[in-house]
Order: sequence, then C-alpha cells, then structure tokens
Amino acid sequence: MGIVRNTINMRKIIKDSTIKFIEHPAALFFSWILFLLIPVVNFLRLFIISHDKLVDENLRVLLSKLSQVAVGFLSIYSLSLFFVCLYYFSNRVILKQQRKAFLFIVSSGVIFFVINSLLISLEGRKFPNYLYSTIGSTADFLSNLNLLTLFNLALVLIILFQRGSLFHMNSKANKSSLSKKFAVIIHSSKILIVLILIFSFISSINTILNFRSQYKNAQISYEQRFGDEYEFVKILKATVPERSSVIHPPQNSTWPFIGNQPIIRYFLFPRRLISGVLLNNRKITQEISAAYFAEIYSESTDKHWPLVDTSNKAIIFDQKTSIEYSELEKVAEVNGVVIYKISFL
Amino acid sequence: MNKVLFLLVSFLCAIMFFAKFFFLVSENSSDFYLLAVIELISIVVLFGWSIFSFITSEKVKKMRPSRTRFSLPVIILATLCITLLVSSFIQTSVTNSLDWDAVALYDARAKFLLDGVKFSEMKSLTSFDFKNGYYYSLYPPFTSILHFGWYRFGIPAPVPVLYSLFLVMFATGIFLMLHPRLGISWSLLATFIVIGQQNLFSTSIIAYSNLPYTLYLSLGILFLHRYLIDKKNWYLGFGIILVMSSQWIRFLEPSWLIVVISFAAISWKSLSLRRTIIPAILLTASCIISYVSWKYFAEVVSQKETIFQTSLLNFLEPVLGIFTGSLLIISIAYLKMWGGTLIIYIGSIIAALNLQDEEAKADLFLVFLIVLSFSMYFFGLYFISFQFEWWPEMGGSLLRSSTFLLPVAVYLLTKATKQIFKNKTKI
Repeated sequence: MGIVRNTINMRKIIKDSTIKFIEHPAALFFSWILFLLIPVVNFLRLFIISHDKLVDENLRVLLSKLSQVAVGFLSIYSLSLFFVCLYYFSNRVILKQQRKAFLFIVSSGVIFFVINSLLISLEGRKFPNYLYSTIGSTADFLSNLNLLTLFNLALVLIILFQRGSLFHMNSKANKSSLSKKFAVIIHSSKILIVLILIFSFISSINTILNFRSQYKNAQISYEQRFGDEYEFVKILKATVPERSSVIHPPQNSTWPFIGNQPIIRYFLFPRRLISGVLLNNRKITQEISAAYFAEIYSESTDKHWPLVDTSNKAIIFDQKTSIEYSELEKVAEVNGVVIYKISFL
Repeated sequence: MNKVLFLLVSFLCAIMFFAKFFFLVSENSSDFYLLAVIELISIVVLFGWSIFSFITSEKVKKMRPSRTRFSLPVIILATLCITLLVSSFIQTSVTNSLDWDAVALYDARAKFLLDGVKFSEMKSLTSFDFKNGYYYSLYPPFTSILHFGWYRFGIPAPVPVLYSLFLVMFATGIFLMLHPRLGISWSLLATFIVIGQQNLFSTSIIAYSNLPYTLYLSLGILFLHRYLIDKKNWYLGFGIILVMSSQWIRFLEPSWLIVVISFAAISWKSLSLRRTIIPAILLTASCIISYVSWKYFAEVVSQKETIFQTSLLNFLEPVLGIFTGSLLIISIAYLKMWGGTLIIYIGSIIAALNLQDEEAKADLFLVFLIVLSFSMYFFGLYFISFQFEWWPEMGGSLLRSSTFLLPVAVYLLTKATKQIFKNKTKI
C-alpha cells in the first residue's frame, strides 16, 4: 500500500513539475534555444576531435560520444516538449507571455531553417563533405534538422491557432461508455494520426525545397556519374570498330565500372564484350582469336590491367593466369590511354 | 470525374496491351506463343467487359453549367501538386545521363531492340560474362519497350521525361480515385503527400521500372477497393487488368500475390458468391496467367538462371538464425531501411483502427495489404541475408519498390484525419 501511495505521489510530482515547466515562458524559451544549439554541439565535437593536443585521447573519445548523445537527446527532447505542449494547451487559454515565447520560437525557427538551407546549398557550390570538415555537421544532418524544425514549428502553429477545440477530450463519452484508460488510448491515437499526417505533409514540402540540389544532380554527365573509368569506355567506343570484340577487366571492387559488363555494354554495343576473368585457357583464346582492350591505369601498381610480358608474349587478364598471344598491336593512343589489338592464333 | 478516370485507366490498359502485343509479335517462339495469346485474350475480354460495365452503370447526367469557386486550401494544395509535377519535368528535361540500372538494363534493352536483337536473344550477349548471365531477363520488358517506342518515334526529349508523364498520370489517378471519398481538398492533400514523398518522387526523375509499377499496382488496388464499396463491375475489371499487368513491369516482388490474398481474405469474410467470391477467383486466375506467362518466357525461352537458392539448407539456416540473434540484427536493419516512411505506414494502421464508417470492410482490405506487404519484405530480406552479403544495400531498392503502398497508407491517414476534424469536439 505504501509503495502504491509513493508511486502515485511520484507521478503527481512529475505531472505538477511538468505543468509548471510548460507554463513558464522562460522554460519554453530556454528549451528551444537548446534545440537551436544542436549544430554548435557538432562544431564543438569537430573542434575536440581535430585538436588532439588540447585534450587527452580517452577524454576526446568520451566527449565525442557524449556530444553525439547530446544531439540525439536534444532532438527528442524538443519534439517531446511540443507534443506535451500540444496536449496541455489544447484546453487552456494561452497567456500573453506564453504567446510571446511561442512567437519567438516560430520566428527563430524560420531563421534557423533559412540558415541551414543556405549552408546546405553552400556544400553544393564547394565540395562534398565541406560542411562536415568546416562546422562538424553533414548536409544530410542539417537537412534532417530542417525537417524536424518544420515539424516543431507546425506543432507550435497548431498550438497557437487551434483554439483548444481540436484535441479536447470529450469527458462525457469517457464516463458513459469507455473505461478511462481505453478513452485515453483512443484520444492519443487520434492525436498521433493528425501529427503523422502533418509530418507527411512537411516531408513533401521538403521535396520541393530540395529542388535545387536535385536539379544539379540531374545535370551530371556520365563522367561525373561513373568516375575516371568512364574515360576508358569513351575511348574504346571512339577507336574500336563496332563489329569486333573488347576484353575488359574482371568485375570487382578494383574496377567497379569498367569491370561491369552490363554497364559498359550500354556504351560499347554492338561490340562483343569478354570478361578478362574468363581468359585463363587456350580453348577460350582460340575461340576469340582476336580482340581489343584498353590499358587501364598504366601508372598504378594495384589497378594496372592487364599485365603484359612482351618478351615471352604472355599476358594476364584474370589477375592470375598467364596466357600466350601471337600478336599485340597498338592501334590508338588518346589522352594517354593506349588501345591494343591482341591476336591469339 | 468518372469519365476522366475511365479515359485514364483505358489509356494505361491500352499501353500495356500494345506493349505486350509488340512483345508477342517480336518473340515468335512457338513454346511461348500460346501462353502469351491466352494472356492477351484475357486482357481484351476484361477490358471489353469493363467498358461495357462502365457504359451501362454510369448514367449520363445532364449537368447545369455552374461556376465552381475553389477555396483557398484547394488553390494552395493544387499549386503545391503542380509545383511538384513541374519540378519533375524540369529535372527530367535537363537530364544528361541515366542512372545505373537504366544504363545497365532498362535503356540498354531498348538499344538492343533498336538494333534488332530480340529479348530471347539477349542472353547470348552475356556469353562471355561469368557473373551476369541472367541479367537481361531478370526484369520484364515493359519499360524497355516504352523506351524503344520513345526512340523509334523520335521524341525530342530525354527518355526520363516519360517518367514525369507517369507521375502526372499517377497524381491524376490518385486524385480521381480518392476524390469521391474524401472531397476535393482532402484528396488534393493526399495526392500532394503521396507524390511528394522523396522515395516516390525520386522514381519520377530516374528511368527505372518503379514508378510505372507503382502506377499500375496502386491504381489497381484502389480500383479493387472501390469495387468492394460500390460493387460496380468496371472497377473490378480495370482493377484486375492493372494488378495482373503490374507483373509485366516488375516481377521480383510478388506484390500481386499479396493483393490476391488480401482480396480473397475479404471475399471469404463476406461469403457473397457473385459479389466477392467469383471476383476473387477471377483476380487470382488472371494474375496466375500473367505470372506463368512471364515466368515461362524468362526461365524456358530466355533460360534465366535462378538467383535465389531454395535447398533445405537455405531454408534451415534462417530458421536457426532466429536463435542466434540474426533475426534481431535483420529486424533492426529492416526498420532503419524504411526511414521516415515507416511512420506513415504505422500511422495508417492506427488510422484504419480509428475509422468508423460503413466502408470498414473495404478498408480492411487495405490494412491486410500493408501488413502482409511488410511481412513479405521482411521475410524476403531475412532469407536473402543468408545467401548474399550485399543484402544491406537493398534498402534503396526496397523503398522504391514499396511505393505502391503509399497511396493506400496516405488514403487511410487522410480519411481518419478528415473524420477527426469533422467530429472535432469528439477526439
């Protein structure tokens, strides 16, 4: 009995403290400022990580972890606070000071959103990871923060304008037909439904706001999309006759684009493509008889392909097996890339 | 509004019919011929029946011309929808390069078709590829045939513009389907939310099969849902054509099976032979015809290899994984893959439980669909994780291929919210 009474007292204390907290305009103001300081926490984390002489390594790791936890906590805290405010103010008059606090939240939230959006667009003009290396927050992180800000602002606007009728629980229905707990569950689920719809609406608005970065992505060329290896494919297309065979590197993480036969076929069709990994025996080389290939990354030690031993007239296409050839002829050189024709018969 | 809807869905069915007809004519394999002809005939019969049902059931009313005044929310929401559509067109019209899968598969097959290579001959292109022999028959040919048509007709725009057109048709279809139930403003809101979700909108600016798949499958689902409410045969007919046709766009995920099971479950519940049991049988039979037709072509004619192993060991390993913690790891990864969209789907289930009207049974069809689809994706991912180490990369593909659930989920959410606002003192 004593434990039950203590639990009830504890709950009453928590409830009363929460209400006092929400009612106080300074508390709302202070909580919102903490949310706006999330990017500052990230900046401090970057500062700690990059100044290894300032702080001992173990302490540095601990502070870094704590700052990550702090960011998560502040995000959840701000969202929970406005949920509770939504519930609390749905049946109460908002006092003048509280209204001023909410209006401050809306205006500062809009400014915060605009600043984040400008920072995100700055990353597009500079280089990838520019924001993370400068202020400790990635563009994706700021984008998610913007989404959360919009959602928080939507909640605040509902608090300010819904005049208490929307989320008011019908006390008569509770007494007559439903037990109190079941009524609370239904009431809460309805609030959740409306909030999820608002969240969905805001994420669709976000798609419109992301137009600029998407527009830039739409204009990228094949070189930008597929990287350096695209150059080899372009040169092969320009120099190798259409009704001939082309040997390409094995498909693996070393040559992710030029080793991928379906991808390069799009550019080299109707040329017959042969994966270098299959060229490991005489039978297959006799079947092919002759083919072209580009020398890939001739200056690199680990990405160079194929490996040629001209003195023994041997070549390695599959990274392991040396096979003999009869003739190796240089047919073109474009931008430092050499195209060869190899004969096996 | 029904007339516009009828024209839209007829247009979609016609595109599908002509694409299949082209495929049949270009692939003159005698083995495949019979199945393909049966499938085409079933589409024609269903199409004819739907047209007949539409003409007889939709009475032509003489409307007095009236000046409709649109409210501010309608204007704002319509503007937002149009902004998204225009945004999609702008991005696709300046496209300089296609994405990975479009280059490797969808647009590549169109190029091969232009060069006179048949679908059944595409496997021979990979004779000297040790890894990707199955690739060209992995996905059905619909999008590649449309790309082929795009190039053959010499349309002076990048092929991704086609997908912006799909988005327009999709938005129009969603709005017209939801409008009778939700009214203009709420259906515009739902349409905006659906087409604005990043995982769906992104499919309108890449030349992949996801958006046409979503278009056909989700409209088919909404047609079947409408049939469960209004009992008009043309909804059923078009719903069946759209759902069965979706298999010809994407075949990897058996979403059509989920639709069939959900519809059959509702039909069994109502036990009305003419109104629900026979339609369920008709839907099942039509979808099976489509399934067998493409599967036969892919595996027998095109000699596609099976990429998923189905031995006893492949079955036992996942079962044992439940006790070794793998299930938990996959569950966490699975939930993370959905991202913010998960909230929408959870919200839609909660919304469905809160709905209080005579359409509850029809809405239950949609709830089954969402729950069963989630289960399908989860167990599919769980089993795949034991066979392929690249399973974590499936997140993006999962999000794109599941976008057909968005109109369903958003409809439930919007409907519940509308009811809440209508009974605003009763929350």
